[in-house]
Amino acid sequence: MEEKLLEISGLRTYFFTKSGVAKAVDGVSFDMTQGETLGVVGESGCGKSVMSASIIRLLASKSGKIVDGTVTFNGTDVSKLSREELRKLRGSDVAMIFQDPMTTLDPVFKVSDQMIEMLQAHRNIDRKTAAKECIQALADVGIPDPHKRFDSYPFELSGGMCQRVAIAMAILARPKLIIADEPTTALDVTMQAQILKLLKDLQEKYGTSILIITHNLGVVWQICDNVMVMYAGKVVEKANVRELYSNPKHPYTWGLMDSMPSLNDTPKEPLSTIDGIPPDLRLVGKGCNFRARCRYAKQCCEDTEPEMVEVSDGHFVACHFQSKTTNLVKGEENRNDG
Amino acid sequence: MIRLIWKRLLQLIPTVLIVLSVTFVITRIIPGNPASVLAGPEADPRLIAELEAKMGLDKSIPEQFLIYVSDIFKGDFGTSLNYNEPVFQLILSRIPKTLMITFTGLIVALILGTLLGTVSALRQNSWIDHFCTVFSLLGASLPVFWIGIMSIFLFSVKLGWLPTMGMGSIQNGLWDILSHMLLPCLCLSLAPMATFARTTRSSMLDTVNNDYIRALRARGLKERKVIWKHAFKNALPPIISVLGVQLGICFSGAILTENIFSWPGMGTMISTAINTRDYALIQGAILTLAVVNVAVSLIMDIIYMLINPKIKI
Ligand SMILES: Nc1ncnc2c1ncn2[C@@H]1O[C@H](COP(=O)(O)OP(=O)(O)O)[C@@H](O)[C@H]1O
Ligand code: SF4
Ligand SMILES: [Mg+2]
Repeated sequence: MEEKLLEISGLRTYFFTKSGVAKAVDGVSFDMTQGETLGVVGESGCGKSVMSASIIRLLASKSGKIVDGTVTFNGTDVSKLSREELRKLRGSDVAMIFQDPMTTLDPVFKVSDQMIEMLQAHRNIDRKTAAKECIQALADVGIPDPHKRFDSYPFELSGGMCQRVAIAMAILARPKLIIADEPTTALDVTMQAQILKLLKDLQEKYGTSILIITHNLGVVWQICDNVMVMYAGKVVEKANVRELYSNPKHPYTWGLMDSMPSLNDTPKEPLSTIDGIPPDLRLVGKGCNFRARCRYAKQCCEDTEPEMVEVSDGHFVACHFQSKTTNLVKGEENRNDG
Repeated sequence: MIRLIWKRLLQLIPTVLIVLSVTFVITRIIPGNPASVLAGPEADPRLIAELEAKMGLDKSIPEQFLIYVSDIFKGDFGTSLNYNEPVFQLILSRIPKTLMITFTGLIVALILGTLLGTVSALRQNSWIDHFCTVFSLLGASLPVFWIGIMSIFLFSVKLGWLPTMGMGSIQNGLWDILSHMLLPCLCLSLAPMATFARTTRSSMLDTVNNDYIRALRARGLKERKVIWKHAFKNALPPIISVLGVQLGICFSGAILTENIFSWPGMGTMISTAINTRDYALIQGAILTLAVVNVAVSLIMDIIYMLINPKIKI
């Protein structure tokens, strides 16, 4: 069996707000191996960002708390780390790339300051050597004229350039895992393709694992080994990319795939979308969270939460009507008893 | 940058002219003039008239003004009747003492205020945050003279820890000067400290919620660096704006405070000058205050540009 790099089990992250508790991440479990690329998809607001930030315990708001579950990285329980150990883990073993490249660099310090400072936070290294490594990293991520960019302020760079700088910083300390939270969403299409290719190339070069969050299934088909579909704080389906592409099982996944534009769509035909919106995470309770939008829902979907079952080797689904023995077929009426 | 300095220097000319003419007119409007003060309350009107003629006060006001302005352009600010010394030299000897308590008060206010504001922003709703809120309110609303008198009453009269008035002398050691400075500076710094605390708190609260702050943490920087280097520098612009305004306020506050604590600076000198209708000294001193204020705002603009990389110098 392959060595596990990251093991997450039963992770729950709740936001305790004045208007109630939002269960942003509600019992998520998965593993990643060294060198794996795992995609996480789902509509916005379903907990992808919170889940990924919970791995390094870096929540955006103080109202968010990791209330349950364990995150084991490289054999150590992250929740047991001291503040200082956690700080060292962030950036050196686990690096993060955020959605909006224009806001992830501190606007009042030069790229050089921020890169050198990051390297010095993890290694005992003098400024000169650090600068050399940083410029090399900028060159590695395909930044033309890296010396000049190194000496620039973030606002002097374009969005794509900023994202490259962010990636250069992410690989600077040779992390074992890169968490990329919608790294291309804010960029134009050509830039998206370039950034994805870059991530893939770097992964090959350094053997890094990548956890990539996206709401674009196209990105998943393009670069991921495995994929995980999240809905309302829970994982609803998880499989190898090929398997999921050819044999999706969860009604929500079907909806996601239908709502994705493909090349052979005629432009005039409207895209099909999933009717309705994700539920308010403060209100989710028992039952299947997707039931209000699911055309296959039956009484049991109201009453009990579907468990995650393995329908075929490595393919997990959480739907009452998908298992080794029952098989719901897309588009057909659900004849099972609820 | 050079252009800005030139622009400010050009702006200085109308400012100076306006300040000059306004103070000139006001000093002439206050009842009584140097001649009558010099001659005493029950003097012979003929003596007064003689003195007036000697001082040039018998000429018309516009005429007097022209003479005064042309003297200034020759570098002559007149002579103080009361001190019997050139106004220029009097001001030169007094202004460092005023600047001394102004800047000490301001620096104390800046350091303690930003510290308090930052800590209370980081620990929202803790006791220190509540303290900061109450302090900002009190500091901004209690008048300087009241704080001054109360602190003299408490520390000097009741407890007898600190001297009540004067400046002390360096011959008695540094502590003599410092102990005389302590109350005036403290009293002076309270209101700006409150403003700094409030401004820093709200600016910091805005800043720490930014994505790049979280990104810095994700890169494994020490929390100390994230806050005091990155968040603080980003939170700085409103603090600098306030600093400029507060420096002006502190300077005028110093004028008041000096009178409470008999600190021998510009403030006490101006009071004496007004009481004795020492025209040349009043005008010279007020003019100096105006120039200092313009200089301060120029310095603030320069600092502002230096911390903002988007403005090319
Ligand atoms: N700062 C916050 N305060 C309160 N609730 C939050 C906060 N951040 C996220 N949430 C909750 O977590 C849910 C998931 O958010 P997020 O992980 O950002 O979604 P995604 O990345 O999948 O678009 C949101 O729908 C919201 O209910
Ligand atoms: S459990 Fe029920 S509601 Fe949920 S996806 Fe399956 S059929 Fe739909
Ligand atoms: Mg997100």
